[in-house]
Amino acid sequence: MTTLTRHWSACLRVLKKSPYWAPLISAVVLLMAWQLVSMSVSQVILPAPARVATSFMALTRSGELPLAVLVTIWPFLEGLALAFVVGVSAGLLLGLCPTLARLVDPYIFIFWSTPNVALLPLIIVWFGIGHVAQVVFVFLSALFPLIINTEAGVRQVESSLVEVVRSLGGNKRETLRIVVIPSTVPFIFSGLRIAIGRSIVGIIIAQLLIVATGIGYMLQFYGETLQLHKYFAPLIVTALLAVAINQVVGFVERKLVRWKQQAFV
Amino acid sequence: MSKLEFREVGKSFVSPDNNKGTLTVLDRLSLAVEEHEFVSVVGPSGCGKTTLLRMAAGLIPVDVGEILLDGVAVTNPSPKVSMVFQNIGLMPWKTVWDNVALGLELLSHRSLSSGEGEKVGASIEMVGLRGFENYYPYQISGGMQQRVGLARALVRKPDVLLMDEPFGALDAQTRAILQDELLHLWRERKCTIFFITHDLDEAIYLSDRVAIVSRRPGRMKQVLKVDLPRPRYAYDVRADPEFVRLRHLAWESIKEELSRL
Repeated sequence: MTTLTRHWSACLRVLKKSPYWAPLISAVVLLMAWQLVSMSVSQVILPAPARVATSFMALTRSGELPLAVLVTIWPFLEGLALAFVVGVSAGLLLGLCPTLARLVDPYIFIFWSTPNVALLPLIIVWFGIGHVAQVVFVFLSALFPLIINTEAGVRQVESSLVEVVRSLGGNKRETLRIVVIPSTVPFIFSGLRIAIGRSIVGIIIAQLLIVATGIGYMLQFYGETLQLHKYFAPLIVTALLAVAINQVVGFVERKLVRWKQQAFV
Repeated sequence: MSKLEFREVGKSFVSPDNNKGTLTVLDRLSLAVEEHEFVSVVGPSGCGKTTLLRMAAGLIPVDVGEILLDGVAVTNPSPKVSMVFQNIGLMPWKTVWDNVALGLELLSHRSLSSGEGEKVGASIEMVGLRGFENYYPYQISGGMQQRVGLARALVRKPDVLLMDEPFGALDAQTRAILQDELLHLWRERKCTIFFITHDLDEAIYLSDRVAIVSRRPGRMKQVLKVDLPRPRYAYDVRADPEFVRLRHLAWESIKEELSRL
């Protein structure tokens, strides 16, 4: 009994000391559980990890998967980048002009509350079923969290800091550069994180329901034809891409917001 | 001609409950601050001390009367004036060096030349923060933060230094040290200091004259001349009979205001 607890606490100590062990162990446990479950059900319901890995390699080597990633990433990045530029600018503008905000805010709220998918028919009518329609859909998915967060960020700018810049002779442009933008950056990042999540959903939906291409179409095709061993390949790639994008954003954020004291470390 | 002159200055604010009209904060207050003089303003809480300073800094307009800097009415922040704030107002995203540099950057409206960079370094050294140039505000103590605030103001070589309870939020020891350093810097830099405080000891210890403002609406009640020899030393001065007498006078004057309810 006591040796068991001793071993257990030794294990915990190792886990705490090296951060690489914990995820590795949980991954192995997960794969083992997957293997066990897949052995007790039909391969159609849940293919074994090894089968999925083989299909993954085959789809990669044939070029089908890389091509799908490319035609998915491209409109995704276009729509997101466009939404970032437009959303942050609009958010700054609305934050700085309360009168304009009172005119525009209700519509932003309506758009933000309406499910994007409801707009799909309209997008198809207006923008067709090609590349542009995908970009527009991603753009609309990402835009509003960016506007709303940036605007909220500008609203919470410390008025005493604005006054300091003014007392030192700063003009409006300098106030924007020295106070407003830096203090809004953390808000822009949290808006960007939401926007990224919604854009990923957006591009998959667009490829499922508008264009029939890329990762969205792969998911649909291999799912509907019950080839789950192939279906898992685009699914895993989507998850990995999403994680990678969030990691990059987190890295940039930590670089830019070094000045903030962390309450919990 | 006085360096900084308040002529019958009045100021009202719209009261938050709309129908109640306006709240008069300052009522025809007059005071003249001479060049190289150190003048403090004390008064009961809410008597408009800070409003007075913000108007002198050109941050808010005067309603009645005028404020003259070198004989010219103040309408906007002047490059000849630097302000030190009670809540310091350092940019949290700028390092100590960048915060001090901001003082010069906003004077010339362009990035600093190498000569100006040296001035920034000299200012940081002057307030005793050499070695802390790359720290962010959250990484240094409150006293050190206010030293940065002082360096940011002094790097502009101001004629007039406006100080709004700059040491009010600091602990007693840090405050005493910074008071001495302020006197030292003032003697070296030969600028005019207009200092707001609620601490009578601080006002008398630092100043050539102490102006006492009545309770709201603030009027000039009394100006005490402080004839204590300089250089002054914190604890010796406080034992001086003249210091004790002045503090008594000032306290009686303020107490009278407080009882007038």
